[in-house]
Amino acid sequence: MSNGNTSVPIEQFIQALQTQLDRAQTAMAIKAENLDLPLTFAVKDLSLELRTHVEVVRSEVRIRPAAPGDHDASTLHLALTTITRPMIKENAKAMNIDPDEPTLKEAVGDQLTDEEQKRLEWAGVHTVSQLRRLAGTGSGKEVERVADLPVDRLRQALARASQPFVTRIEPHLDGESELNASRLLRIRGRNLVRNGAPRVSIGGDPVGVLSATDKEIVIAPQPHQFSGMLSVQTGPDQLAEMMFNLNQNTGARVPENGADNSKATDKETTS
Amino acid sequence: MWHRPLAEMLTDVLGAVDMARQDQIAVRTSSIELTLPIEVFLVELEGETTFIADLPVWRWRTIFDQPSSSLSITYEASQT
Repeated sequence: MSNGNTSVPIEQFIQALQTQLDRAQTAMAIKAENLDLPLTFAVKDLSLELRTHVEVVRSEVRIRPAAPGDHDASTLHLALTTITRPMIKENAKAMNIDPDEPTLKEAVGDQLTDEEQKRLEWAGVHTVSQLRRLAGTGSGKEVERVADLPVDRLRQALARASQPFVTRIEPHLDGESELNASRLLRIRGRNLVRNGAPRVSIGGDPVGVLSATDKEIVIAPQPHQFSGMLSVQTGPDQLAEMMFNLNQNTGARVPENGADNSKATDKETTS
Repeated sequence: MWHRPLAEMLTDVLGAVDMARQDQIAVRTSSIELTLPIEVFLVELEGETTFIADLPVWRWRTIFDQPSSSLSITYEASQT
């Protein structure tokens, strides 16, 4: 147990308070049930006047309860009230986020520091698509001001997030005959299309692209192209590469049920 | 540390009030409102931040005591 003088992010503080209220509520409910009481009590409103220090550390608001002798501590007034499930739905903004969409951190890598990403989250930017939408609407200047992040850094992050990225290469089995499945490969990833179909090559030799979307490409490789270095190029300097070996899954050796033993292997590079 | 997590303190205080309520025959309690001076600490317990909030240990404040915070809470009776 710490001495209670450490500071915690304000979200963590509110969560800790809520946890205690939930526990108190559960205890009351259990007591009413065990004693077979017809009535119990539920929290309606709560108001807290907390003597505390409010600090901002690396763009994070933290609070630390005042210690003995801290006469200059701030007073934080916090009022909580109960709301019903319909009210939660009414007030909660729908999170229109694709579950497959990478987080900002995954997409931009080390292009932005943790602190810069936190400042973007303050400005409501949690995903790459939100970042892209901002750039598209010309709101870069506003973000620069709110998140204290230069537009150039935003552009660089966006460029990094727009790079094609291959996550998986597997036999294409959906509704296809075994014969076709043995000949086609499906590439999964993100940003796989940009201004038209991408250029795909394996071991330096071009491969026919049958269909391409942002998250999936279906290719028809030659018999000798079921292993090697796969390259997907969507534009100048927009290249993703991945080593793979699916030789054991070609021809009659592809399982009829499409059992997944075909994960792309070895290294994956994006340049 | 003498102080307990908020849930324990609230359960004890409300439990005591509730015990008194059960002796009443003609009057039904519909709500309970409490305003309590509390001393607050945030501590790490079993890997999670725990909100420690308890009534002041001593009646008279000294310079060694934490500045007192205040908690007002309203409970409403509900059927089980």
